Amino acid sequence: MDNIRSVNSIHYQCSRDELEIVWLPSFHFLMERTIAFLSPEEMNIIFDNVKNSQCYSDLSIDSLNMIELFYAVINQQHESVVHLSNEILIEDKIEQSIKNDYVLKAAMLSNIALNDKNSARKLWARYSDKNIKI
Amino acid sequence: MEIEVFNYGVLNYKNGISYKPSYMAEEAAYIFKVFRDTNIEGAQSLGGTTAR
Repeated sequence: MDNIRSVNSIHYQCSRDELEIVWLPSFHFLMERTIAFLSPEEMNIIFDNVKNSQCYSDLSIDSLNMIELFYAVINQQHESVVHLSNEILIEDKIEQSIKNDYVLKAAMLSNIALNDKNSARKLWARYSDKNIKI
Repeated sequence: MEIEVFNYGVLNYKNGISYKPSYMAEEAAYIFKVFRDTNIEGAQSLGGTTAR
């Protein structure tokens, strides 16, 4: 419930720092807890709640890209996932983090779904910590 | 193999605490219901405030 309340704070907490440091990780956590178990239609109910919030327009471009990436994953829009992952993973080397790990996984799977295994391999080659399971 | 990978993911992201997938499905359903009801009732049903 704390996680839900934290995500819901986008309805009244518009501080850019709060949105980046508190809200986005909470939203990421909520996505990881729901994507595998809810239908796209059910997930879109959660997205409608967020997109209609008072502070949605105060999010940074990076945060909006993350939200759109989750939306594309949910709706299996593989071209969008690849495009957004390129916007998010801009450094040559992909450093290990919860956010980067998720984007990397989503991008590799979408590339494979698009029958572009070479791009998936190139992404993996950029990952900094290949010794851990992600 | 797929089950092992899935279980690893379940165990890993909960920081080592073992949750059964059925529990997670129930949790996801609960989260969905909260947001669905919030869309109907408004954000204040979760204790929010409209003050900016």
